[in-house]
Amino acid sequence: MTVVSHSGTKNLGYLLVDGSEGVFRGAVLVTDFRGIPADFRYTDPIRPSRIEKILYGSALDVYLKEELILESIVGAVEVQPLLWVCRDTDLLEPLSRTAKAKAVLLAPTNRAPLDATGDMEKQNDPGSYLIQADSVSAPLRISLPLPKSKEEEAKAIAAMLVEAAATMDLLEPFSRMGKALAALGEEHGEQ
Amino acid sequence: MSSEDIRTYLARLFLGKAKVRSLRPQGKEVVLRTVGRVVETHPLRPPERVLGSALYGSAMDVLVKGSCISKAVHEAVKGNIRGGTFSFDGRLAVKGEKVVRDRRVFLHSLGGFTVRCIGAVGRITPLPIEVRNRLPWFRGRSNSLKKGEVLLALYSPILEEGLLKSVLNKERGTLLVWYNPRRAWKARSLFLVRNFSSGGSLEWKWIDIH
Repeated sequence: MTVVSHSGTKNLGYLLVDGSEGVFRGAVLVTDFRGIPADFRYTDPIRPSRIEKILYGSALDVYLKEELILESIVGAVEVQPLLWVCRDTDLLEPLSRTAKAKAVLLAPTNRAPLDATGDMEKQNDPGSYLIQADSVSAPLRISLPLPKSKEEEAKAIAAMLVEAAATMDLLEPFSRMGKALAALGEEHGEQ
Repeated sequence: MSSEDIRTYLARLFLGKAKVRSLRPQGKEVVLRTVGRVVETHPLRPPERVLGSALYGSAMDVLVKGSCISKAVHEAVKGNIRGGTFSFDGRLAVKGEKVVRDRRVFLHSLGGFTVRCIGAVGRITPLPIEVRNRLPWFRGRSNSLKKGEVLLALYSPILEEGLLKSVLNKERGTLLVWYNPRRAWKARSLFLVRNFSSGGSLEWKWIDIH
C-alpha cells in the first residue's frame, strides 16, 4: 500500500490498567496515526494493604482500576486523542464516561479476512463489530459502549481506525506500553 | 510427666518420703502487669513522600537558574550592577544527580488512595515500533516474486522515508523499527525473501500493497 498520511494532528489514545498480583498501575499512550508517541503517562504502582483489601472487599479492584487510576490518568493527558482505545471490557464504560473523546474496545481475532479494507460485520454481542482495518491482517473486533452503540457511531470509528491502520499497527502500542512499564518498574526496583 | 515428677513419685513409693520444697523469697521479684492498653494507630496509607523543592520546581515548570558564587566575587561584581537581573548558567543538581525536566507529576487522591500520574513521553519515544509479519494474510504473493525467490516474511506498514534503523527480531519474527518523525509519512511494505538464484541469500524488497 502507498499511503501518504496528512493526519499529523490526529491522535489515538491507548489505555492500559493492570491489577495483576495485587499491584495496580495504569498507563496511557497517545500516538499519532503513525504510532509515534505524543504523550505518555503512567501511575506509580498502588499496593493495597491487607486492611484495605478487607475494608474495600470485592469493590477494591473496580474502585482502583475504574475510578482512581483511569480517571486520574485520562484526566492528566495533555494531548487529547480523537479516539480512546482500550482492550479490557471492564474499562470501556468508565473510559467512555471519563474521556472527552469517543472510546472503543479493540481486540484481535483469528477470523478470516473480510472482503475489502473498511468492511464491517455486525456481531451478536450488542455494539460489537468486526472490521477489516487493512488488507494484510485478520479483522479486528471493536466494541462500543452500549448507550452509544449506534451503527453510525461504529462506522465513524471504523473509518478512523482504517485511516490509522494504513500507517500503523493498531494494536502495537499496547505492547510498547507494556515494555515501557516493565522497564520503568525495573528502574524503580519493583519486583 | 517430667523426670522430676518421676523421681518424686519413686521416692514416695520406695522411701516413703515426700520432698518438701520451700518457697524462698530471695531472687524472686513480683511482676506487676497492668491491664491498661496503649493504642497504636496506623494510617491505611504510608505518609506522603516529600519531594525536594528543587524537584517540585522542575516538575512545576519553574525555571531554576544560578549557582553559588564566592563572597569575594560577589562583592567585586555587586558595584557594577544597577538593576535588572543576571544569572550564572549553572546546572541544577540534587545530591550529585542532575535534575532533568523530563516529567510532569500529577497527584490525585481519592478515598484514602493517592495515585501519581507521571508524564514521561521521553521514556517511550526511544522504544522501537514492533512490526508484525503479515505474510499469513497476504493474498498476492505469486505476483510479487521473481523466479528463484521465496517469500519469508512481509512487514507492513513501514514508513519508508522516515526509517532510521531496523532490526529483525529472529526469535519473535518481528521487525523493530525506529523512525524519524519528521520524514515518516509514506507507508510501504517490506518483503524478506530468500533468493535461490543468487546463492540463497536473504534480501529485503520494498513493495506497495494495494
